[in-house]
Amino acid sequence: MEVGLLYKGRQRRARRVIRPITSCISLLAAALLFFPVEVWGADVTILGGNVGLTISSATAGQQPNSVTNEICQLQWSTLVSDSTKKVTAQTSMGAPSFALSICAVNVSAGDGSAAGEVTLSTAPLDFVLSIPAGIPASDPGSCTLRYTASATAADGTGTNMHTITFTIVDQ
Amino acid sequence: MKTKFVVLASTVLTLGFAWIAVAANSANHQITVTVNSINELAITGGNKTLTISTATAGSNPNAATNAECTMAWTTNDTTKKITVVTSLASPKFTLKVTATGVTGGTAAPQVTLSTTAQNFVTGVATTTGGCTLSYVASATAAQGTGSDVHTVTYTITGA
Repeated sequence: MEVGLLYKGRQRRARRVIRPITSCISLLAAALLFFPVEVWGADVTILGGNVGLTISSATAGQQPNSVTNEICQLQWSTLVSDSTKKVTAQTSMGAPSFALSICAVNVSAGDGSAAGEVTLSTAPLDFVLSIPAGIPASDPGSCTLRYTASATAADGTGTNMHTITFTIVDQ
Repeated sequence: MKTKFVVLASTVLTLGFAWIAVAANSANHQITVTVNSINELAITGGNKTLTISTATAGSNPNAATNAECTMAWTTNDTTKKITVVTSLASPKFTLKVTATGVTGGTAAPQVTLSTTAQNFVTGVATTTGGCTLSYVASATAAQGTGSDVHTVTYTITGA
């Protein structure tokens, strides 16, 4: 008799602990079910890794020749419920010795428009504008990242290391 | 019991929305810009001939001059100079050159060309520049007649 009561008491205590947990799991599952897209949010991804640009030539009497790199791509996706968005670009380097500019080229049709060439600075600058809602991650918007490095003879020689950050934000 | 449930439910929902809020919306990569040492020098105007063919009676022949060629340079290095040298070891006649209208450096005094490199423009550093190549050929009556063919080489080098 006493053993039976003890067993039932333990069961009740176990239910008290388990019920809230299962309820919470159910709530989270429901949240994921009703807001499946919201979980991932608007996103940007870089393809192509890190890039090196080397300036090493000039025409006599002229400034050194600039160099261009178009190896990397940027991809982005947005939510169905998003407002119009844009992608900004900025560098981590406060006072570079040499100019580094960037331009979005070959922006995929209907996924935004290039803001034009910008010289990178630590302030975020518009890179891709008018990005509509509902660009799925499975078929993202994309563009080629065209970097152009330039230097004057007066800039001398050396190396600049930039960390370039692209951010998708409300326009 | 209800209170615990509400607290837990709020926590779950908060975490859920926090997950939404922190979903990645930025990406970054590294760009390395390297500028190597660049030293370029070029002559425009091609090859030139200086002909000595007159004299004032009682004086040595008149010198011939030519200032039709120009030179341009680019260097992003510090402490450079431009030297000049001729290929002709024992010229019969004298050939001198001076840099005139110099930008991006300082003209050295007039140089009598020899096979030893001599300063032509000094103080060249992290700049573009240019000058006119002013040649003067001279001969004495005692040197007679003939032709000297020089290959004149300008070099941008460490000062």
